[in-house]
Amino acid sequence: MAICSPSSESSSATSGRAWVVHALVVGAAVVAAVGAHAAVYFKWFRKDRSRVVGIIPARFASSRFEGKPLVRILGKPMIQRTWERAKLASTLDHVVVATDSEKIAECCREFGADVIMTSESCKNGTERCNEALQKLGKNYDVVVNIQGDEPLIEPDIIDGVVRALQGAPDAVFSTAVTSLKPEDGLDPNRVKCVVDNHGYAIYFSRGLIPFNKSGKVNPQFPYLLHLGIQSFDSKFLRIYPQLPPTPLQLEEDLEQLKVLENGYKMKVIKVDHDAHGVDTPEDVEKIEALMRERNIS
Amino acid sequence: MAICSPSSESSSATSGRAWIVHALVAGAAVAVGAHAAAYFKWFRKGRSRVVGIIPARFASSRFEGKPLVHILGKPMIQRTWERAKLASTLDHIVVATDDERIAECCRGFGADVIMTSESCRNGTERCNEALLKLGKHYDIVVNIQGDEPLLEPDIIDGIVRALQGAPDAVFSTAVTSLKPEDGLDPNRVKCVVDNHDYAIYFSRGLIPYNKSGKVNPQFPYLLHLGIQSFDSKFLRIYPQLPPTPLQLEEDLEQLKVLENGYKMKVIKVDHDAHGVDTPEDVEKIEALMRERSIS
Repeated sequence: MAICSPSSESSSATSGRAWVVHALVVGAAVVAAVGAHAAVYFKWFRKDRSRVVGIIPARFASSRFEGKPLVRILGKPMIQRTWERAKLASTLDHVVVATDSEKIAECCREFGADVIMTSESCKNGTERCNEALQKLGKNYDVVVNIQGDEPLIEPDIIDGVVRALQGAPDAVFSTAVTSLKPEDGLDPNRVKCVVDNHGYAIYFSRGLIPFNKSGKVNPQFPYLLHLGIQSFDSKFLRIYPQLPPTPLQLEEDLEQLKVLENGYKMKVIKVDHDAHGVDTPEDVEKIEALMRERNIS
Repeated sequence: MAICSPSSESSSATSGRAWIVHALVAGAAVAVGAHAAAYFKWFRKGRSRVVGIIPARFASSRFEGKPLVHILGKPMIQRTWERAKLASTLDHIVVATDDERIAECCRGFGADVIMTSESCRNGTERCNEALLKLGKHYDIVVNIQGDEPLLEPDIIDGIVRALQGAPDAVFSTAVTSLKPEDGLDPNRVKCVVDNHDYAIYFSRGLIPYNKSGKVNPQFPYLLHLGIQSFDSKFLRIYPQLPPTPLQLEEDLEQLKVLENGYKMKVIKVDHDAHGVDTPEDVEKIEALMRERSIS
């Protein structure tokens, strides 16, 4: 039997050990605090943005083409074609049509689409998406504004803009561009885009950008044509439509400039896509001819 | 008496406790200090020491010896230098040249001169070389073009203060109103800015454009002026960055800043740009100066 008094020795050793334990607990608490701080810090820069909704705004009225979403393209309403394409996008958790017209709503319900009714006073597709987002109630991180008049939009492009936004936590918006045909260089209806070396948008214009000293389209330069697909961080979408219009946006008549003029960052992906927007009744014939050519039914 | 050695037990316990305490305190102090330093250094840069550099080379395809051309009897570079001396934000002004004739002329009127190499491809590279040779530490470098002899000192001060007031920008410059007749002139560089006066884009084409394709007489287009100020840390790396696609196509060096994702502050000023590029410009500017009684 040890002559040292085990109880008194162990009690001081115990209190020493207890102290060590307390110190370790405090240390762990400090680590936890640092960890929480880091989590808050990194949450800013590592947002998951995992819940994604695709919204197809579709209004009936139009100066050029009334009832456009319902026009038949090879027998099927255009909005149905757009919706079916969107359903193939793997990054979308949900797809809804946002409309102000009961005729469009009925048509959509018939082919199985979810529909949200929105007001006639929405000034553009973005406002309509925002109204639909509020009505959806569920929390989505990313909202994709899918234009109803691009019935041949590839699902990959939708996935591409979503992933671009998810991969760029400092951006609040993403969109897509494709190669501009040289003959469209001086066409103000074709919107050009310039980007920086990390794929962030610098500017959009109806004029030729980049320009050059000669003032002519350069057949060697890979100009970029803006496509009408947009994805928004949902927190940004909530405040964006209320921001007042900005000078460049108004002069160019390009809504996306409001994002840049307010100092927000926008990610851009480059895709191969022949843009076939349907704006006029003539465009319907063109697209039907193209689809027959490509055996798309 | 305990046979166990109390002293060794307590000293190891004591030193153990002391070590833990010291480690925690030191760790906490380092963490707080590092965090604060990073936070404050990043967002509260002083940028207080400012140098103005006037790059001046002799050779030129259009106008050889341009800095030395006499405008109403005084060398152009002297006029530019005298204007720069009136700017209150500059701690120091130097002429950076590659030619002994220019250097001699400048020393003649009292300017400090730094010799730089003939191989500098542009004014920015020359400013960077001069900055390195200066040895002293400067936070901001103003690149003052030698061929704008009527540049107002207030514009120099304006771009310096703009950069000092925007710690997230690495560069600042100035614009003025574009005359509508210059809207479609590719030699007049247009600029568009955001609502906090950060540059969005520069172009030789008309920006912003519009659906009609014509210059809009109501729109306040912006003309870029050739004055630039750099954060000195940025200037050290900037000339070595490879040229970028938009910079090359537009032939506009400032696009390299934007294409590399850096932010640039822009101030709007009232300034009739009177750059001297050709011998004819000399007569124009002399006529203007006589009109305004500038000697």
